[in-house]
Formats: sequence, C-alpha cells, structure tokens
Amino acid sequence: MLSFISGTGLLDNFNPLNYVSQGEYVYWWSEAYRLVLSGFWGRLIAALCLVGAFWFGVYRKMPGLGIFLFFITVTITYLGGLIKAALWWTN
Amino acid sequence: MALGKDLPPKQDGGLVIGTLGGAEKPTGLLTAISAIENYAMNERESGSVPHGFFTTQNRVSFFAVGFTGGLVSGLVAALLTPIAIGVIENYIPIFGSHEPSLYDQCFAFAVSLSFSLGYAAFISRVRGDYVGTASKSAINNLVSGLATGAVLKLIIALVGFHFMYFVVLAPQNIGPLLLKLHPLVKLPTLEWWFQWLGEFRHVFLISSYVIVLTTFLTVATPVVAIMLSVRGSRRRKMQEKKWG
Repeated sequence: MLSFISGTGLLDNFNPLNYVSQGEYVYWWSEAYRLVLSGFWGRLIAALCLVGAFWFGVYRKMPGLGIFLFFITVTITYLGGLIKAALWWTN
Repeated sequence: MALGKDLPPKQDGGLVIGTLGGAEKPTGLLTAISAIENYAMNERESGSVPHGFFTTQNRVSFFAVGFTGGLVSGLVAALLTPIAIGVIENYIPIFGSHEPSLYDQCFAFAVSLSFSLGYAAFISRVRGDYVGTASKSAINNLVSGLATGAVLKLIIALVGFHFMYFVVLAPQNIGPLLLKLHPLVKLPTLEWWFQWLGEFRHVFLISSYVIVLTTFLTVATPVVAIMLSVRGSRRRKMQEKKWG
C-alpha cells in the first residue's frame, strides 16, 4: 500500500529536502530553536504565555485556554534544555 | 386530577434552584462554580433556601470536586517543583541555558507555583457568592475538598521525594541500577549520570519542603479571599444600616 504511494512519488512532495538544501534546512530549525526556545524571545513568549494563562484561566474564566497556555509555558521553558540534552546524548 | 398531585407546588417568583431532589450535583469545577453562582443569584433575589435543601449528597459532590482539583493541581506542582529547584541549583537547563539568570530562576519558581495557585485563584472567584445557606454550604465544601486534596498531595509528595532521596537515588542503589544499562550506554556516560544523580538527589529533599509552602498558598488563597469578601460585605451592610 505504502510502496504504491511512494512509487508514484506522492510522498516525495512532503520531503523538505526537495525544496531546500540540507544545510539551509538545519539552519532554519536551529534559528527557530534559537528564537523560540532560548534567548530573549523565548523568555518573552514564555512570560506572556504565563500571564495569559492567568488572564484567561482565572480572570476571564476560560480554564481550558488557561491550561493550554500554561503547558505552552512549560514547553518553551524546558524544551530547549531537553533538546540540548538529547543532542548531547546522540553525539 | 391524579397527575396533579405529583406536580411540585407553584412558586411565585421564589426559588427555582436545581431539581426536586435538592441542589444540582456538580460533575466538575466549572459546573460546581456555575451551580454556586446560580444559588447565590437566587438567594440574593429570594433569601436563603431551607436548611434541608442542600443534601448530604450535594455536600459530598462539592467536596469531591474540590478534592480532585486540589490533588491533581497539586501533583502538577509537585512534578514541577524539583525541576524548578534543579534550575535554581544549576542542575537543569532553562531556556536552553545551564547558567540561569536571576530572572530565569524566579521564572522557574513561578512556573512551578502557577498551576496550583491558578486553580486556587479560579476557585476564589466565587468569593462574592458567599451569601445564603446553599451557596455558603457549597463553597465551604468545595474549599474544604480543595484543602483535603492539597494536604493529601503534600503527604504523597513528602513520602515520594524522601523515597527518591533515601532509596531510589541512594548511591548503593542507583549504581547497580545504572550498570544494568551498560551494554546500551557507554561507561563514561553512566559515570557522568551517576555523578549527576548523586549531586541532584538533595533537590528532592529541598522540594519536599518547598511543597509545604505551595500547599499553604493553595489553601490560603481561597480562604483569605472569601474572608476578605465576607468582611467587606459585612462592613457595607453596617454602613447601609447607619445611613438608614
């Protein structure tokens, strides 16, 4: 079944390396990591998400959105370290 | 008409709360808070309901909602506390950095406190609805459930963290455990892990006492909010009496 799809080249359309070089692709991801999970912007986004979690969850009585924002805060705060540890582990 | 006997007596603009069997039974925090708002609104309009209205089953339902919330939100805080202390003590990276600034340390601590404090603050929003028999009883049971859940969480965390420190991460236990991973993980890596875990284990001891503070704040937030609200409304009433 899957070999039929891959035989038609349909899955190849989803391969990002068909459109950009590997170096460029790795650069994009490391830039995204640098921007969102570390440095000033990561700290700012995490702080805004935490404030948003209280604003929506407690003040605006939308606990679902509050919990969602809280988990985004936790993810941004600790995922950077987790990725670093995983990269250290694989190297 | 025979059927007419089974119908409830008509109420002329009186209380219309819940079903014939008493107050409604909440299934979660949102339904509990909605029910409290409903009771308070009706009791402001028509005065307090009779004492028997809020049955034992209703009390238990509100208690259970508070208890579950206190336990679950507390366990989330309990999981995040050793991580926050690990950040402060430079064992765990935050925002990808192993050298956290003062802001990073405060932020890690704030994140670990936020979930249970947010939950307690959400419950505190019913402080203005502490008006009549039913709403007071519902709020009292909800908050006492929250307190019981938080205390149970505290006991679980205290026992669990001490167990981590004295048993799981004790050098004589963690060494043989790590050695079992040997074919899969290289020896120098295992040695690094052993050293890191040996230094990190005291974080669990610190965390178990930080959680006492978290629990205190979780319980105190709604209690203080309700007390302040009651005092405020009492003052308002006295002022109204003075002014005639």
